Amino acid sequence: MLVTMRRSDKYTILIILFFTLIYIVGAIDLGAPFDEGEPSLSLFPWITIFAMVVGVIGFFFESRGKSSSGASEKPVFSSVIKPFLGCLVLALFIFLFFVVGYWLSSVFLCFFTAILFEYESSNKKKAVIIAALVSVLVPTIGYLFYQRLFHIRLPEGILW
Amino acid sequence: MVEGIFHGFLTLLAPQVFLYMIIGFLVGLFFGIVPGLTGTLAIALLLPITFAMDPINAFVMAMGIFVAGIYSGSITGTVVNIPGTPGGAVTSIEGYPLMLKGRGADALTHGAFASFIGGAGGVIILMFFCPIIAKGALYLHTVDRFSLILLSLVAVSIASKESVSKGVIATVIGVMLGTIGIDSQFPEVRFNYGFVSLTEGIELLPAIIGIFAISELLCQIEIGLAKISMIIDVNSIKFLRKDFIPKLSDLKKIGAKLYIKSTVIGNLVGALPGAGAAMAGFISYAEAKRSSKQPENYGKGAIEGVAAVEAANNSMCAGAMIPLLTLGIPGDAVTAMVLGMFKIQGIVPGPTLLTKSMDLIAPIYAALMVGAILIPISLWFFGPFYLKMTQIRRSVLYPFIALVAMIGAFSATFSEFQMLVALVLGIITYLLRKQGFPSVPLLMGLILGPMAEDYLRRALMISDGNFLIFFMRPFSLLFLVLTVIFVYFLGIRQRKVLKSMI
Repeated sequence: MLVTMRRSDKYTILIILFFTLIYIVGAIDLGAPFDEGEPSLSLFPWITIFAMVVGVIGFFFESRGKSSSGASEKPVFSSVIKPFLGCLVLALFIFLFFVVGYWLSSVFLCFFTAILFEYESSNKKKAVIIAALVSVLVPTIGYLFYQRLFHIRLPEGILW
Repeated sequence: MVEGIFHGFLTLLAPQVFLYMIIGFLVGLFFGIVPGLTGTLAIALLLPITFAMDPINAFVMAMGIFVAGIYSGSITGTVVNIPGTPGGAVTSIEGYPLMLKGRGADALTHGAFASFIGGAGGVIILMFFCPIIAKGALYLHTVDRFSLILLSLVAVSIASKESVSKGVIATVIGVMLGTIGIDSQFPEVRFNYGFVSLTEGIELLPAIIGIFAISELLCQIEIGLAKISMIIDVNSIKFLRKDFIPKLSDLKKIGAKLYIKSTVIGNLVGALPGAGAAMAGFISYAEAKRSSKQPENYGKGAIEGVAAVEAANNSMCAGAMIPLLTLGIPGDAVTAMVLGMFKIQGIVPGPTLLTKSMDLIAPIYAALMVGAILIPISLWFFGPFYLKMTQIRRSVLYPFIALVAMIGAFSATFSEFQMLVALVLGIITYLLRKQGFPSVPLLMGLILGPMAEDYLRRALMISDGNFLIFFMRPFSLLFLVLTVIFVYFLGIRQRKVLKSMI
């Protein structure tokens, strides 16, 4: 039956079921839903699991009607390379933020985020100049806004 | 109460408070106009700084963003057929054909005028009904409260545009995430899988930033610098201020009845959990078309259609505040964030809020009202420059949003782990959105889930584990019956009606 579904829907169902299974393991660890007639810690998670199963069954039947367009269908995660790089930049920013401080980490974040947007630009030199300007201006505005205006203490790092 | 409201207006007119309201309004206007940005995103990004703000300043700023964001989402929908928000997409059904006919300025003018009527009318309804509902809410028992939250969760799930099952799954994912961490009643940790950091659970502010800001950033990174094709050359469009005066003939054509009906529809839909501006606009538009003497004109540039949608959209803003202020239950993403603001300030929204904290609530009413008044004024001031705002380079805009989002997650908790939570939730939401799952139910599940669990357990403790208690109390039974009615009307019938009418 699954073969009549779009490939992306199949993956979606499998991923949701995988995480639901992990959640079920956690719910089992909490014991029975009722303990001496009183609701326990696991009651609500089991109701939630039931709701998820209902949702997934509904999604399965909804998706089953939409047949796959075969070869024309794009690979599920083909278009997520740039967003993946975006995630990487954000993750590195979080790491750098506490190690090297606000200024260097935010310059890194802004430069590479701008580059990700300018990636397809035909004028590479202009793209790098824009990214460089953005990586100076935006952290400065951010510093003035958070540290100076709202007195939110940003990590000092190695520059201060 | 009248005196309290009067004081609210006086508070708003204090220079510093009014300045925050204006800043919020301008931020909302900008975020609504630029495709890819929304007023909701603006509030999500600014939410963490409300820690450092006076509560009244924070609330009036949020209301300014809310009102302006909802209104301005329709501007680019009308002019270039690229709506800034989902609600703006409904306006563009009539607004864009009017633009093609050379009546773009009229569409914008009547959109703004109807927004003002709807917004102001919505606030009057809010001020009238809030005290009545709040008094009634005092009689709600724990059992009734669970049924009410269940109603909200179901409504949020089925109000999803494309698919009910996707709405259900997104809501349940949110509820599941809400169960992580230390339990509210027993000192035990759940679903941490051995990770000590998960003990603290998922904080609301990083979750909001992840679900709205980071997921949007990733979506926009995927689009990159791609040029959106426009039939109309933006640079060739020129609006003059004298064009933004509503024509009497158009006002007569629209009629007071349509304004009032759309305002009431928008307010009622706004009060429903999960409904939002798009649904308010759609239902109002469908009703305007149904009751029109010339329904054949709809879809070809009917000015009445623009007025119906915009009046309903902006009346929705006040309607959405009703369940939050009276019951402490947020109805949509923006009111969920306002709930976050209440929590930041240590205020518990609910039935007693109106009597105990009128000094906080009245400026919210005033901000919504003044925001509505500012809409036509803003069109006159900024109308000629609206299209220039859409031309801002994305590689300048989004690094700023990325930085504000990440620093926002940090400033809310000062925790590296919660910054990572924001990132992970952003990635999860981005992947879900790519598969057509809505993001608002995810947040609503995260907020309403723990509330539902708390009331459920307390109700079952009272009844010694007997689930029939939910059918034995009149209010609880009423909410359960309403849940079934909602499933029928929102989940089944409404889809059929809208499909046949539009």
